Amino acid sequence: MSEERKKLVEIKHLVKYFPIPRKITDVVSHKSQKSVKAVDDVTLDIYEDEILALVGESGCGKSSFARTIIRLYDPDSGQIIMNGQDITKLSKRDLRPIKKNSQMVFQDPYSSLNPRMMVGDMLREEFLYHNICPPEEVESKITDILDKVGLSQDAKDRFPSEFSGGQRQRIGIARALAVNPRLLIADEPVSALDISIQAQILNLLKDLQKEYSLTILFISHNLNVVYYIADRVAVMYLGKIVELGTTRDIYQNPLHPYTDILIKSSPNLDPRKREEAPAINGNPPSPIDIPPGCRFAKRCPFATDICHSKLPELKEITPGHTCACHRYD
Amino acid sequence: MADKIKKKKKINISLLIGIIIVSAAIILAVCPSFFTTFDPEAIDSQSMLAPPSALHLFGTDNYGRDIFARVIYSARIDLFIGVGAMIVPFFIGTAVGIISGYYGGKIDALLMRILDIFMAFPYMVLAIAIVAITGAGIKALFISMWLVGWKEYTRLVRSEVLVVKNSEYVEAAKVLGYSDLRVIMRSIIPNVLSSAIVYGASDIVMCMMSGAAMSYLGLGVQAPTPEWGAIISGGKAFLSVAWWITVFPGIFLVITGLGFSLIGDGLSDMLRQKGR
Amino acid sequence: MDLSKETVKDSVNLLEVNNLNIRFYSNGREMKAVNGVSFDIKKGETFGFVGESGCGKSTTSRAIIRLLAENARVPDGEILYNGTDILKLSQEKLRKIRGKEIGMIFQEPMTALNPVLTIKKQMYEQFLGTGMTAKEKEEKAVEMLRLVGIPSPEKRLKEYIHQFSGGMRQRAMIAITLAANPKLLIADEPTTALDVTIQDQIIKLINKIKKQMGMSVLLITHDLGVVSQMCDRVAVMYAGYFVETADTLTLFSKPRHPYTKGLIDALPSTEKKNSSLMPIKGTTPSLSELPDGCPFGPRCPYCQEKCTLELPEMAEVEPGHMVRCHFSDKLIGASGLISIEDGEKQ
Repeated sequence: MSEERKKLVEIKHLVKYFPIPRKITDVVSHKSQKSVKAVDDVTLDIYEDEILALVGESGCGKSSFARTIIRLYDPDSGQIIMNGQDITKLSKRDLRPIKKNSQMVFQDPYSSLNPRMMVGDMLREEFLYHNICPPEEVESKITDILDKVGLSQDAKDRFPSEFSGGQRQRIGIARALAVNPRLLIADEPVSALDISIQAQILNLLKDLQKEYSLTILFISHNLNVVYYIADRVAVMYLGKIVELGTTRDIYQNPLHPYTDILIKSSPNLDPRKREEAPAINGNPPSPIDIPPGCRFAKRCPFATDICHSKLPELKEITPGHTCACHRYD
Repeated sequence: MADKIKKKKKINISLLIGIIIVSAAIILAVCPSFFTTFDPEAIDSQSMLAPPSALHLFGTDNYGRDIFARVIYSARIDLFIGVGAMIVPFFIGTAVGIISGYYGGKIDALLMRILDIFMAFPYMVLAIAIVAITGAGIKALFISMWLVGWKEYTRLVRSEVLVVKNSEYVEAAKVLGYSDLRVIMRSIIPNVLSSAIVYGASDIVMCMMSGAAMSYLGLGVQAPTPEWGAIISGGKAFLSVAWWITVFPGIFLVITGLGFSLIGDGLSDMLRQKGR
Repeated sequence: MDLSKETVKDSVNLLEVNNLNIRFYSNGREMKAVNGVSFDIKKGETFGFVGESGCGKSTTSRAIIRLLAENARVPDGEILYNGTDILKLSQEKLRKIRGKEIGMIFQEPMTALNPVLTIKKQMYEQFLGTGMTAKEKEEKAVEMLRLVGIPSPEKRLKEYIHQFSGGMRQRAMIAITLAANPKLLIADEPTTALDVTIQDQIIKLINKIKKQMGMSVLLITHDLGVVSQMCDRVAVMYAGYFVETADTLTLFSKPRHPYTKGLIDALPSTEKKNSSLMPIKGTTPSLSELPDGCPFGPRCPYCQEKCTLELPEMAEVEPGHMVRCHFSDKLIGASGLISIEDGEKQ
């Protein structure tokens, strides 16, 4: 199904390491420079007009990945092609006019808004800075966007501290959508919200996606939320994508053992179905000292010798459903 | 979660009292002649070391000069020293702190080492060295206070910038493609300035005090110009026979200082409320 | 199935809370944090408080060990632990109950445990006054760490909390809290800060230990999934009120309060057949300006004039199933999160 669809973002072999500052003693004893391998050789296409979810546990590199593809962080190697243009090596100045094409909604509704700027001023600045519309139309544009995200018009003259968490998240969405982006990155946009508000925001994102034909990269650790909103799902583990497929494929037929365990770990809503033992024991290894071979091998119930020595490649198992696991060699 | 946090306009007592005191000092500074008919520098050999009386409210000093007039006329120069010695370091220090904190890396390391050098330098020794070059006077006073005053602002602002620059709203501004200057002006500065402003209010007190101290040591304002520190200094030889020479300027110095301190306190309360 | 009410029906109440009211005072305003809350926890039972932020679930749990903030008042109510009213205890007697009889674990072990003391030192504090010898203490401490699944416990006992990873921190806190053999464990969002796989481990761990030690657990959470996997009975809280209490299965299959139903409809889940989410309109009311009548009234799809005038009382709609709603009959037959066949419960 995806063959004819246009790719909005192509990411090829993207790598982003964060060096760990060395102590004086390390330098003296010639210890090698260590890095957190946040994004390690990730290749991924994001199609136009889709909601692609990126799931994984904390520290798996999903947020770093998102921030790297919009050049908030500079990649160490690899290629990012946004809308046909290679933006991997663009200078800060050249990047500025195209930055508005990819916007971001953040996790924490409290720290993601400038506490000393009124909502109207924030939006006005965006419209004028990016020449979205002639100055005389700015006010009506502000009215439109507030309306779209479900905020009342008096929000214009209020500071963020006067809003509740859910309303602040709406403001964050308005800020991102004001500049007409093609790609919207939503980094855990509902994980700080209460259930009743969470549903409001999820529905809003879904509606806006349809209305604006947006492409959304939805980052989350909550598999239930992802199931509701995403068209395709990419599962990330320690800086690598281990499985990618349509939402239906991923949930009904998980190929990678990690995906399977993630789904099983998420608490069952039926109190009659209680297991005695957890789906998996142990903690994810640190992203600093990564052993050779498959990154999941240490915790994997199916691990064999090859898993500990050779890194499995992402392979297409069924059309549109790829997985990196030696079980499918 | 409250749907809407009510705007509360509570009268801030310490800010109010502070403003009253400082306004009073400013009035004294602007039109001292309104309060006294004496010339603060006029010598009257007829009434030397006269105790407080109806004519000389605060008495006179060893030259027969009216202490009340001298204290009133001092307000102008003391406020000038206090504000003047604070305002320049405030801007320099804040700017250095923002650049250092925002850009980090090598720029930060360099600026912080420079700051360390100034930290290590004893203030009084520096002041004496500058006096040796420029000669004693208000110029030496300002130069030495400017040289040492900025580092507190830098440290304060830099630590705030380090917090704010990693916040998601600054990230959002960068995602919007805003230039560094715009990010700094619109997102960083409004959120880091409050502690520097609060510190500035109390710094005025410190500056007035050190100005007075320098004058007391004979390094600052020179006789016969009336200045609280200088008056106290001049009166110290007569403390046992004419307490009024030192006590009255002392009280004025302390009360004015208290006024600025209260403003600082009140501002910090107010800005904290607004911030969250 | 340990859910069935039979196992706990005849047992004695370990904790009984009657008509508890808690008020907070700040800036001259009164906030009605907890209003007329009554419940009991039986021996060996896990009781859950579920609700959104600010609904009073944590406040209620803190009142049980009298850990309320200084601006809080309890104008009314009693908290009976084994028959004695905790609210009337002297400080000295209260200390004997805190920790030793009732233990508490929190969302963030990093802030709940002392960063400058080793796990061992903090564990030993739990043994004060027990007359244990040094050797017995050491053995018990190692045993506790082993019980919560911390590998090489002898070594880790000498470490500090920051040397542990997220899941291990939670385990260490549980071990320290349980070292004093409390009869009641209050768990305030114990898994909220954890990843799903670790959350799963901690849920199973608490369930296992509860059974082994014969403890009762009071669980505070906002996550219906965690409730489903841990609780025997649940109370749904809204704006300081209990709005519905029932056993977990009943609550999930036959919700009778519009708020409970709203939460269920708003919850995305891989198990729900109907894929659309129905958010609850509006936002939670401020605790200082609760509406007259039913607190949920302004957001309720079934709200009528009566609801804006008169606060509904908790009423038993079925044995053991209490609902605070004038029109709870309207939800008879409404679909819950899960469906059960009639008669399956027995």
